Amino acid sequence: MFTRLFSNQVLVSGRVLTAIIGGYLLAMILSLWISHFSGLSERSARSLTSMMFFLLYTAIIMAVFAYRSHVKAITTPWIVTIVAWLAWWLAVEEAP
Amino acid sequence: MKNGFRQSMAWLHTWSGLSMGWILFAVFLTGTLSFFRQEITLWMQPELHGSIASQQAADLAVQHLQRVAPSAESWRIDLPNAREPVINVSWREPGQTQGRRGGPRHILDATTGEQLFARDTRGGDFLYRFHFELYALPRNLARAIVGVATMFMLVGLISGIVTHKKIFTDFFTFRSKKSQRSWLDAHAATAVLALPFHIMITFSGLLLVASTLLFWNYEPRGPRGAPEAGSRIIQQVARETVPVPTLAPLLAQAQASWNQPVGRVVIDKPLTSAMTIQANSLLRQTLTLQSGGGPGGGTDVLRFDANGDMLKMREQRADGASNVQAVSNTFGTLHRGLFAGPLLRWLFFLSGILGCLMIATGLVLWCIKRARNQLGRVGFELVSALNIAAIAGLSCATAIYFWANRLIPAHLSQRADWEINSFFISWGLLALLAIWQRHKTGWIIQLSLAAVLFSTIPLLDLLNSEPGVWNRWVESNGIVPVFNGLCLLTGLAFAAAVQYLLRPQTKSVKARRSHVTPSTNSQPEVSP
Repeated sequence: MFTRLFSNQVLVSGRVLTAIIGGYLLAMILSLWISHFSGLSERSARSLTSMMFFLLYTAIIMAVFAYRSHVKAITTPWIVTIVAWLAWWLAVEEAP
Repeated sequence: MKNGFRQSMAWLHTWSGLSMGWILFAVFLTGTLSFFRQEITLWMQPELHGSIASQQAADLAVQHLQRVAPSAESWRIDLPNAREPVINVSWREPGQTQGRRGGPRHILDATTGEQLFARDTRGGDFLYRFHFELYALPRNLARAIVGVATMFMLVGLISGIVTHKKIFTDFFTFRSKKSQRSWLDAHAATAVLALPFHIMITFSGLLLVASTLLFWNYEPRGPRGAPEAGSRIIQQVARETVPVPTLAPLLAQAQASWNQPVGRVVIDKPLTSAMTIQANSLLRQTLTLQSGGGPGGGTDVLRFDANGDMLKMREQRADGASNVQAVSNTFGTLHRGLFAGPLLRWLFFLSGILGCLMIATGLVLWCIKRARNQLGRVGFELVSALNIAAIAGLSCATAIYFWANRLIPAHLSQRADWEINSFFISWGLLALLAIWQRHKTGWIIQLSLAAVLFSTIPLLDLLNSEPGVWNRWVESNGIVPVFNGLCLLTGLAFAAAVQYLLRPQTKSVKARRSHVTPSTNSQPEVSP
């Protein structure tokens, strides 16, 4: 449906934005999750977050462009991002 | 994106490389030169070339500091070494804020202890700073730009590896005189030859600018100019006249203990009975600790009291850093080459040059692939112009920076700024020239200019030097002649590139180019 509604340039631009912005947010929350469960001291957890972020960001960007379907490439990362952030908010930020 | 995984990755590789390729080339070139920033700074200060390292350097420095800063709270002496054959002394007066920088600084002859007055220049430090903070931009913005470009580089590298089905076979394949295939082979060979270095330097570079890109992961810093973390206001202490013990035997003891020379001596509360003398090793013995000789630092330290008695051996803080921090610190140490001796430094330098060639061949390849179909289009013409400006233009501007160092009068006020201005003004003019001549002629003009500028640097140095220059070149640990030799080699490499462009074209190339129909007034010969 998307491919009929939008031109190829728009869909490729959507992928690029998803990779850059969505990928950043997803890599951010995933690296925060990993650090949260690592049980490391604050300083070490920060180092782990940085290293994991760049590895995850690279992997996510590549995954976004690896999908054959434009729709899956654009929607999947955003859905995972929203779910991961909601889970973080509920489990960590709202935790007593 | 519908042609399979490898094709998708090839698309990603192409566009991630192209969109930031020009910045990456500048960052890689200036970063590569930064592996020898001390040597570059030395070359750019010919007034220092006569200094020769001696065993008495530390005591000569103490004599000088006793004369010029007897009431200082602390003295810092950077001893001469193979890379910098002069003594750098600095001190902090009571009441001064103590941070990482600041305080008066003198340069001394390592043999006589006389103060040397070198010309004002940023030397290699300008290139070093430029490679991660660019110039005249807000610090965080510049680091963010470099960080984003580095992220694109990492994506480009990994997607490039994935794209190649037979990466090592490709490495051993070079099809010469095949135009597009030759450029592709050159791109693959320069990438694969130093691939571990490229990945290491890119990933570690990202970690070094992580505080800007991942601002949410770090505590906000105070405004610049405010006292740094851990800084303190130095208080006036009661003055006595306790002599400083002779340093040469203490340093010999430290050197024997570490099996490497002493790099720095810090004397706290000099000329008082509370005086402590701290000796730091020149190089790091370990990769996993943070930089510096303080807590968590990576250099070895020995401390002595006012009588010259050893206070305590520094404990290696292997326990202090977790494995994660150790990995992170290792990347930082590797990136900056803090542990590297001459051989490894040269390997890093050569790998960096291969990185520059990888980026340059990738950028040129983009144009060659599209020359037939896109010649005359705005995007293609823009990329062509930017390629020349970024690759040949920056090379020329770097040579002009060295030329300016010798041509601008040594005592001109703000001459260091004028050296940098020469770099940017010339780069700007060459960028304009690249817009005007953005195809083969543009490459020939700018590469010829680079060839002439680099290959004549040794002559310029010779003409600008005082008599007896040969002895001083030899005395400077060979740094000056090696620098001049490298400039000559670089010039010859650019001349070879020009000769390649001027070679008679084969029939097949002529026939192919005859099909190119420019839609504007552009020349049909598009790139090297």
